Amino acid sequence: TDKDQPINITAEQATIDDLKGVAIYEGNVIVTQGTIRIEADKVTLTYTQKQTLDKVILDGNPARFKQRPDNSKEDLNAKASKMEYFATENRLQLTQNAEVWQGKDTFTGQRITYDTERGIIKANQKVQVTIQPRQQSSSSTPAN
Amino acid sequence: MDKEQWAGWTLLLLVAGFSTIWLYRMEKDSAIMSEEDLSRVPDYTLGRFTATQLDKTGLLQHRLTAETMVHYPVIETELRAPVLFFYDKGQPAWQIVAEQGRVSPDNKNLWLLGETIMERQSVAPTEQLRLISRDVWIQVEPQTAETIEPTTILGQNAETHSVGMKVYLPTHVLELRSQVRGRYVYQ
Repeated sequence: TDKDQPINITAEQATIDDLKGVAIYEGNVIVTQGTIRIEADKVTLTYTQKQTLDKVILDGNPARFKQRPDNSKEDLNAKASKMEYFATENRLQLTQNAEVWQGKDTFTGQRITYDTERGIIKANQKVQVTIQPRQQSSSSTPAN
Repeated sequence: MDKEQWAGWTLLLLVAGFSTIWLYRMEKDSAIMSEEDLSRVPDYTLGRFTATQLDKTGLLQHRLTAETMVHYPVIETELRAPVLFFYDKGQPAWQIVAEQGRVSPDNKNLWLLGETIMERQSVAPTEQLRLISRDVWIQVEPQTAETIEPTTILGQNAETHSVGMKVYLPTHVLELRSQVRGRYVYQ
């Protein structure tokens, strides 16, 4: 799965504070991990003393996230002014102008949560959901 | 004396006059050169050199060693194969090795030249770290190491590259100045 892959980061500058376990990357930041691709103006990683990833905060105008969920044919895309990824919970939380879409299905709202391992989306606070009806395959005859 | 003799004497006098001025100038220049040259002549040289600095509480703060140290009266001291150790509460924290080194006359600045390898000891909670670069400028106070050269940082499960870096040795904060590329394997 994506989570087991190494993380690659490119940025213009970075400040790494090992005592506090915080690394801040700024300027055209691109983060990739397996099928995950993140683009943001600023990415803040916090990690534990045992060097395990704890949390990732993305800030951008907007920050963008893309992933090809397991067993899925289409990428899941997300954008928001602010995203927080909680590594131990596999939870990506989008706030401020959040939008998530996969194919023609879209979710928008003030706050959307996406489970990156199970591919589940939860949205609250002024949510708008657009789910496109699935095309009936020609072999199956519609019920009358 | 006829005209020709006068002309000869006059020419002779002119030559003598110019030669005297020329010789006087030559002698003056060489006098200045010698002062400047003197400052470039070492006043002492040491082999297997070690200098140790303690902090106010008597604990080791930093230690500088070198295969040879050449000291000049005015200009910077030269070091060959210098190794600089920084301690934290008496514990070894950083070791910095370089090919050459220069120390400013006031001992506040140190330039570690050529390939320079900084190693941080693994003292909890920080992990071992190895920083490979060139031409690093050390300020003894506030204990910073800085370069504009390409840098590679190797951690336990991370490898980061940048161009330009500043390290705050006491707080272990690294500022990577440009073109940052990192690869991390988090558990």
